[in-house]
Amino acid sequence: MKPELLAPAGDLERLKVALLYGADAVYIGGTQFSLRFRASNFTLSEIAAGVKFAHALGKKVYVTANIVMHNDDLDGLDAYLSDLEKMGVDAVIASSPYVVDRAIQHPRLAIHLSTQQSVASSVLVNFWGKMGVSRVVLAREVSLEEIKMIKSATNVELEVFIHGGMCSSYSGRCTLSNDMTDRDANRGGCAHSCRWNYDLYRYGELLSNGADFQMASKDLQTIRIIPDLIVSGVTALKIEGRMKSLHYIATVVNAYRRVIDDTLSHHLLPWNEYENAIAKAENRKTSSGFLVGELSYEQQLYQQGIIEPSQDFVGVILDYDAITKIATIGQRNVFKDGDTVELFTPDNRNELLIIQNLQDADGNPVKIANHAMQILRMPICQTVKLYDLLRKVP
Amino acid sequence: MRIVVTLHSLLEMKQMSALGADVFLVNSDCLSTKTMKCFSKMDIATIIEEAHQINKLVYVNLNTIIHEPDIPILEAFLLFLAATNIDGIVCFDLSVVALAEQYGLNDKIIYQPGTMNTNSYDPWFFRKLKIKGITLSKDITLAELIAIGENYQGMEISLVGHGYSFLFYSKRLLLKSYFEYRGKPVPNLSNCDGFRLIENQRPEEMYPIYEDGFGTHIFRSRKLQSFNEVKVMRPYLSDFFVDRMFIEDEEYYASIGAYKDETNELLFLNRYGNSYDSGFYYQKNKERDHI
Repeated sequence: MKPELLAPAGDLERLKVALLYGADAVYIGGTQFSLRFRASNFTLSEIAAGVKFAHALGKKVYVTANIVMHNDDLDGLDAYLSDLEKMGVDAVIASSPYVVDRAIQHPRLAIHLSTQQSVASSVLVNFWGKMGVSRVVLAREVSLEEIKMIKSATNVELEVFIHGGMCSSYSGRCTLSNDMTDRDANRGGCAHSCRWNYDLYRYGELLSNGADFQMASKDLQTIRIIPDLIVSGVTALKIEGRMKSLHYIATVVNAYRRVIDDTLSHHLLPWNEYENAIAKAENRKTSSGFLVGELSYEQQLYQQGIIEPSQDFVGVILDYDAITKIATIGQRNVFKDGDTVELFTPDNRNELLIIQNLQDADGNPVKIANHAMQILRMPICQTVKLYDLLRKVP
Repeated sequence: MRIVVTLHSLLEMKQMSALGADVFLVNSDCLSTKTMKCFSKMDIATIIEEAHQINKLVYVNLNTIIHEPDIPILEAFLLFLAATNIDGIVCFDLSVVALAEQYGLNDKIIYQPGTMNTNSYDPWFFRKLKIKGITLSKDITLAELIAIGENYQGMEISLVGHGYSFLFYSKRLLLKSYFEYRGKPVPNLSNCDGFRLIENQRPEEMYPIYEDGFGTHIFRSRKLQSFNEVKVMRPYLSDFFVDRMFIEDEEYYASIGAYKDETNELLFLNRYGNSYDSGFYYQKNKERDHI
């Protein structure tokens, strides 16, 4: 069975990019009831536009309503779910029993259970199935072997995380942020206290060295495990990161799209082909998390920092005139006349271009594109399309 | 309202009972974590028998996340419990709820996830499952607790209202990993209650950190006490849990008596009060809209 590749989207542009670059479905947050507050900026009209775009491609949109609900949060949920159902949202992602029970009243809205419930057994998957949930997002702490065992004991759809940030704690059970910063981790306010540096003492004796005790984990990266996950029969493979950039989404989604398709067509390339593709976007250090083998210190993130992307994302194609062959480009990072850039497209053309004859929106020559988000024009012989991306080759 | 205390030894039962304990909470040697003392099935059977002889109740604490390989262990344990007169099964994972009915134990289950039980609807949801009760979330305010209590009085509601509240439960072995990362020998972590974390912006706060085979736990830097709050919440609470982790025996015994008698409460606060605070009762966390 071909699993669904499920991608995050923090806004409508990223939703479109995720779907164009290979996601079968996206998950998004509305302005209410959703974790990841910085990313939860889809108004109802934007959700409707996203659904229309996705459905036109034969793809799906899921909306998160996965905060742990307090009494203050209960108002307005029914109306919200009605709106989501009417606009054709395919599923709501819930963690609170209240959301599950209210969503059941909306039969065209499937219910997916959020990883916030930390489900790690088939018994619990089936429990939620009886409660009306059609899909369970498993805890990030389950291993590949456990996934296989769970799958063999349930008909409920299973979704597993394959890439991105990992909570160090079991999801939904952490209140470090609540205690240390008054920000509610389970209602979208997580301050990521688990990513801070700490000193470790034992009976008053300092054991750490310059506050180098950390509890954060490396990000998840599962390229080499995808074939096993496909065999396991899981329904959906999920990428984390509703706050990630357009370029990150395009790059990571496209890499996993390729490895899934290549696995199923028995044309897998060497692993480093896919891993190098992912490395073109910004990433923290990665590991395979709990999926394979015993955890050790190697899965932990003791030295913070981003691994620099191997290629800088410099621009996005906004328009192309096929007659004049002039492309309109949205600047995202500095590039200049004479630079070699890679044209990164949903169909993986990956052609090289030389930047030349760059102009601003008024037709003035531009030698260095160093104004953030500047609109530029440039002749490009190859046909390009909206949301093709330009990455500077080092 | 019953006072639930953690039992470390059969020998404590009479003393704790005299202090005002109504229920003894015991940790199992198979599916209990963040505990300094566990009991075998045989021990638990004995404890139940002896507690009932002095008209006290016994709850068993199954406070791990249940993974698929744990299911046979859980089934065997529930089978054992079904043959006893256990009075309550405190569980952290709904897998226990899901399995308990098969063993005729669903009416013994108290669902105590630490977080999650945060609104007035949750008791209604769990009443449908015909379980004994739920423990309200540790991170909600007193006003929220009262609102939940006032709104629903049809199933048992409980509170963990005393001791070091846990903030974090990871499957990762964070202490062991850290020592390995540093290339240092891993010390004996078993039952070690002496590890603390300090974050440099909060130098006065020492967060206890504890590791066992199920993972790593981090706790609030200050102990929670609820003497005033429990007077308000008493009409709504069936069980009030007095947590024991990291607390010396003498202080722990004193805390039990303090919830039964106002004179004892005053003595307790005079002696130990500086290391306690009111937790989240008056600390309304900011959700996303207010950040």
